[in-house]
Amino acid sequence: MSALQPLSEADLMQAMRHADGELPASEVAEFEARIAREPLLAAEVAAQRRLAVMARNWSPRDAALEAWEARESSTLARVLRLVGIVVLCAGVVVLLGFMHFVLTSEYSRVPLWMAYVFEVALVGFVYLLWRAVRARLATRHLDPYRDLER
Amino acid sequence: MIIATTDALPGREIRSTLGLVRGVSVRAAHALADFDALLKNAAGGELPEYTAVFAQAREQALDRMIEQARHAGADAVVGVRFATSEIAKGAAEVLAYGTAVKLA
Repeated sequence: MSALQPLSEADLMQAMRHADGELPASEVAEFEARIAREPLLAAEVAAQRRLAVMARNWSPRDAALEAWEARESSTLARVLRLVGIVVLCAGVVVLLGFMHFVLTSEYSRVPLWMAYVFEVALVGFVYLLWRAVRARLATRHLDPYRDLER
Repeated sequence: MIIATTDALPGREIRSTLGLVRGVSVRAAHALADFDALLKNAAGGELPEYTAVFAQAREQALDRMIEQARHAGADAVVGVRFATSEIAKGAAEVLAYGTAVKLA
């Protein structure tokens, strides 16, 4: 089967059995080879695993957690949270700008080349961080444990 | 696959021991969750962000142990234990281990 063809019912059943650990040992290697080749099948297995993990760990939610989330999910709370994040980010940007000004001003005791090395290192860090976040977001749907709360 | 913390399974006979099986997982919360937890830490109470990270690491370690037992042809894992340690701030390391056995 090509990677773009929809899954058959037999594939869905096999994905469920694999996620539940019920696939016969003789079929596991072949099925795992297919998972490696077929992204659609890999996504289905990941979804089934996630359901299996959630089902295994289901329990009533805490009253305190429910109450906390209810407070945090109101429109006002979400707007205030967003304002807080924006103010925080703006503050960081201003601090970085000020740091650049201080490091590169004629009164700075730090050599200019050192100031630029520091800023290049900072850019490198942000770039690597962005790569890590992008990779996590791209593979997050394959993580069966991501929604587990306790 | 039967998973038990006891060394024996009542009503079942262990035919052979296949050896140690283990699974380990180290997971971390993302930076925003870390930041939320930092703020809640100041106020006290449960830090659900870290509870979730720990639960995820626990289940992943357990699943990896079971996977190893399955590959060894085991019917059960007995004497299962969990061990934890802190590798980095905000990251949970969980090790699950036990003895894989074949049942009669």
